[in-house]
Amino acid sequence: MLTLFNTAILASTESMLNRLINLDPPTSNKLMGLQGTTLTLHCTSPDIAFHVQVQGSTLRLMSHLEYEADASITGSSRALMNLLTSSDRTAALHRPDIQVRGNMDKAQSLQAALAGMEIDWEYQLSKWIGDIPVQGISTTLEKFSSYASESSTNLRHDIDNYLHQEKRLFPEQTELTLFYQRINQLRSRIDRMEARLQFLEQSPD
Amino acid sequence: MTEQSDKTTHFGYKQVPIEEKAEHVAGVFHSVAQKYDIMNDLMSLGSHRLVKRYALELTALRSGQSVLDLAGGTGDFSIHFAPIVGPEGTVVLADINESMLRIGRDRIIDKGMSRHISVSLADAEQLPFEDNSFDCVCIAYGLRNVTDKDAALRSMLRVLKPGGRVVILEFSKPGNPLVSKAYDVYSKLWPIAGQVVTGDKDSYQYLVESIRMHPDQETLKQMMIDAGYTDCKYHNVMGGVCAIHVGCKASA
Repeated sequence: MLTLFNTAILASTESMLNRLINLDPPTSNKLMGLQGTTLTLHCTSPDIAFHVQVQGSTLRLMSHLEYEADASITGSSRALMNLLTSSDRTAALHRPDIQVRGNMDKAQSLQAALAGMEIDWEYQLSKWIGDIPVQGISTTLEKFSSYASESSTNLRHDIDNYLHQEKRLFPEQTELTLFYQRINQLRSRIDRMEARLQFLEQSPD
Repeated sequence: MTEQSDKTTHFGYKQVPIEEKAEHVAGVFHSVAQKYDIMNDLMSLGSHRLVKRYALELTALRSGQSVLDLAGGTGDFSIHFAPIVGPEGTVVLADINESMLRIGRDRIIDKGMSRHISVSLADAEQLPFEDNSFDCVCIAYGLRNVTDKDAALRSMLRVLKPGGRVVILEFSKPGNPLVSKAYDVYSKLWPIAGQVVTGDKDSYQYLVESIRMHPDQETLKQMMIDAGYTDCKYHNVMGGVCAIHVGCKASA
């Protein structure tokens, strides 16, 4: 039953992924050049392994692979997500929390094809509701996004001021730095004193 | 009047002369061909798609390889094989039943895949292909309808390339008595569903009976070994309601 359950989850993920790929023709074209490439992805937390095979301009996700994949990538879910979204493919594959075995070139090419996916959501939406409403929605969303970003920055700044300056609940960054410097100096003086004491204890008179 | 042999074989629970079984089976599939896929979805509640997907993974097919979809009928498997083997590979859809094959062929044309999939009217017991032609032979829900299963297994082995594999997806015997009981009760509904959807109760009664008469997992595995396959194994699906047998042809 578990086999079928895994197969069902992979089938629905595959369907969703292929719909997204279909919305971005450049990604579809890149995948065509990788026909047959097979990759094993092993996520260590949670412990899940599955296989990805390029079939034409689509991806096939498999729970079971009867032969060795071209390459296998092992890492935590966070590291693998970073791999999927990172634009610097070499750096992403060489992170310490990622292990790559097999054909590195194929792994990099597939990673680059997927990480470079850019879906024009405005265009896709305009096919359903028309250009003018999409323009309106887009402008409103941009304004909202800008307002939300500005408000968030202001709120963080205000809270910071209130807690540090008005309530004096937390020390200022400069005070903290000075405090840490003094602790370091004190630690050095204690170390020197300890060394001096040891020296005196060991001396004959 | 032609002389008939005394030897009989099962057609569901009935015993019929060996030479008549193929004709009876052909009658069943001529009758159900038009609504075959709808009935499959209905009877399995859609789970047959997942089982086939799993069987597809066990074929180990790769780009550029050749595959025979035997008893492939409506072309369900062939349509999935084509993108896996790609334009450099070969897919042959074969079935003994003309009505089923016609539906498969039309479906392949509708999907624009006729350049990648060939269609062949073929008897599994005497495959009309050269020795060592295919990297994989797949037969899904077809073997139980074949009169001489041993001959079919030998014929499939002959057309396989050395190192190639056969994948047999078929109904089987659930291991758990509770699952077995529930499955028995559920499958008794199939002839009723067949009557409602296709107007043909008898064909679906045959389906239920033919499943009961089909060899269980271990027996089929032994039949494969006897036919000459190596590395034979099977994977139970849904507690043994279905089983996927895999065997290989020894490398030269």
